[in-house]
Amino acid sequence: METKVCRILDPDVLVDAIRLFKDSAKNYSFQSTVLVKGAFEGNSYSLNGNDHHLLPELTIELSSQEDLIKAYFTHNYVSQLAELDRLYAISLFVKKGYDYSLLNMLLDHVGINYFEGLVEKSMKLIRLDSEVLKFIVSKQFSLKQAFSLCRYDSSFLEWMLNLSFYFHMSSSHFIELSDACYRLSKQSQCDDYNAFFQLECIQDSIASSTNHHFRTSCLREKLLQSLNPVQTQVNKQLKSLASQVSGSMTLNWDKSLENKQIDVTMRLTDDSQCEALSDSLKKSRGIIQSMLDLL
Amino acid sequence: MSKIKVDPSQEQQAIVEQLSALGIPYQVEKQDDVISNYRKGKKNIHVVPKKGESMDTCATISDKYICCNVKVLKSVSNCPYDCSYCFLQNYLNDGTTKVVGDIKSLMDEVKEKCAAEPDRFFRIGTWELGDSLALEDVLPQARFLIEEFASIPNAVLELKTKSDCVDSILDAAHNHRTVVSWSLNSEYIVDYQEHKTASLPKRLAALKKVTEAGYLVGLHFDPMIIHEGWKEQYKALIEQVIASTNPDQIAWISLGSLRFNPEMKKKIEQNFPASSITHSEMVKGDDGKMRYVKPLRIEMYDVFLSHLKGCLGLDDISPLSPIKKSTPLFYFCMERWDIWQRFFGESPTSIQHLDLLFAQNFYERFGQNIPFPTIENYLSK
Ligand code: SF4
Repeated sequence: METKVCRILDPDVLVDAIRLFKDSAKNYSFQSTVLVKGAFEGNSYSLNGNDHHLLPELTIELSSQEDLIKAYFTHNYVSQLAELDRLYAISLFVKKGYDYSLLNMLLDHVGINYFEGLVEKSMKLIRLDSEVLKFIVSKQFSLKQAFSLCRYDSSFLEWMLNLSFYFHMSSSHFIELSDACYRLSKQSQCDDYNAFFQLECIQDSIASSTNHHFRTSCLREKLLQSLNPVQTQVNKQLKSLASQVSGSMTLNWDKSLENKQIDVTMRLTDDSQCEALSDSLKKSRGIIQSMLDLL
Repeated sequence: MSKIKVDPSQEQQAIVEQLSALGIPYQVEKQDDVISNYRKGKKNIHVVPKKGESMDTCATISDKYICCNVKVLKSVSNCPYDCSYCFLQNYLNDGTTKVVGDIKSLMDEVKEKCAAEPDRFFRIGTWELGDSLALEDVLPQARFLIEEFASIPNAVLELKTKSDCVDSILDAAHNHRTVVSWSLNSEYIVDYQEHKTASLPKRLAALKKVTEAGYLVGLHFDPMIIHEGWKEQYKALIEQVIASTNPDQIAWISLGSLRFNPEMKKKIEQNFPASSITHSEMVKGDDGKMRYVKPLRIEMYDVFLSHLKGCLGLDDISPLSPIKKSTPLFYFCMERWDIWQRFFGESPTSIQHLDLLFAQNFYERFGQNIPFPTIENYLSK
């Protein structure tokens, strides 16, 4: 049996190697052995050979292209990576033009549990713009989070990626702010994302500070207000009414406006204050009624 | 075209004989696979035996929002239509469209449960997991159910639909013990959100037919959805509906606003990417469901009810007011007590109280031969 050893530094090289192996196997009917080692460093894969360390486990008999790809995954310990990283590893192959059935086989091979729509969602995800995909991987999105982005069109995600440079975006920020920006773009019927970027709430947030964390909180707040104009307006009115009661008493309400009730908190440091407090509560009746009318 | 399979145990059932009579092909096969994709399931109909208990209380019952305590009979599961807001997309584990073949067993259970509480009046709907009449032209269940309910002393059947499949029930002996209801919406919503359902003119034509056949009817303006021109569209809807029926035959009218849980929001966005129904200003209520923020709901109900009252010539539509022959029972589906108070001046004190109001209204207006509804039989339970 002839053994062929190949050191692969890049998955692209592996893809070429696959073709080579395939042809060799066809022409000379020898079985091939592949030497691959993957080191997952930060956001990117770099592959190198380390004969000493890996030699005992490197002899694999390959009879098909699938075997070769499986070997690649096995030797890169892909199934031990986080789910999204596994999918990312797969994407490096599938992007080369492989089809659903290969994807299906690989998902199974790396132990991503099947559920309805998994293959379709994976396909959609791994076909995203590579910068978006790299961002998703580098920010350590969970697979569920990553899949939740599949409902957006790719131009929106690319726009979100650009927006993220101005802010501090963890995976959950990205999910939350994508949802908010998307809804706002739909509410304002603005499909031109360049124009959308010029929205006051986005520009004001960027201008609010040089600190990216602060900008992000500011953006969240402003998006919330823009998305919920009725709540914002009514809560403003309620706040203004509540501020009119005496200082030893605070009026609280359900900011979602669902519950029609006012919670009254009174501060007492001495029982002699009871009377004065009950007087100020009585005096606040009109305010409380106005607040209840708004709820 | 849907694929129809019939469980071997159901081959002799009347609804399967109907398939043969119509020359509709089917395969006799046991159901062993689960179709997790509910849309794929819409194209796969399986006639199945009744399994376990089929009569239950409506799944949306909640004590945070006032609910009407209607009972549901699970005679179908999944639906050939494809409404963007349909809760089934997030509810069914098995998306296969199932139709119970053995409807006699269903009725045995209904009769047994109604007989166990003879002093209570049951409203029983077949629409919880699907549309009551959508499959009627292929697998007819309704006529049998209607004729069986005709002789139950303390129950009424509610068939709720977005179809116009009523021809097969027009001459059934209903004895006023069936309410044929429509889920109605503005023409815009019917066209853009209620995919594959009967158009509004078709639904209204069907409403006219059942009215003329002497049935009691129910009108469900639910889910009301904010969309461009909604005020004018809903007003036009009210006028068309009232012109298509006889107000004295309207048993009840319900109103409800669009609502869904956050999980379903994701499903809607995924299954209906072109739909904008999830983009409006909404809040999560105490029951975990998203709804329009309350001032928007109030505005919607206000516009709607003012116009409806005007069209029906009614001043007082409170279900708690003395009952009048010409006043249908109005209610909100899954709304807060303060919404009831705002529009009806009062609200029921509990789910059981609303159940009692239904019984009293039906008794006074249509059903002197149903048991007299007493407070003890409802509020003490
Ligand atoms: S008609 Fe009802 S059950 Fe059928 S898809 Fe529409 S909402 Fe769902």
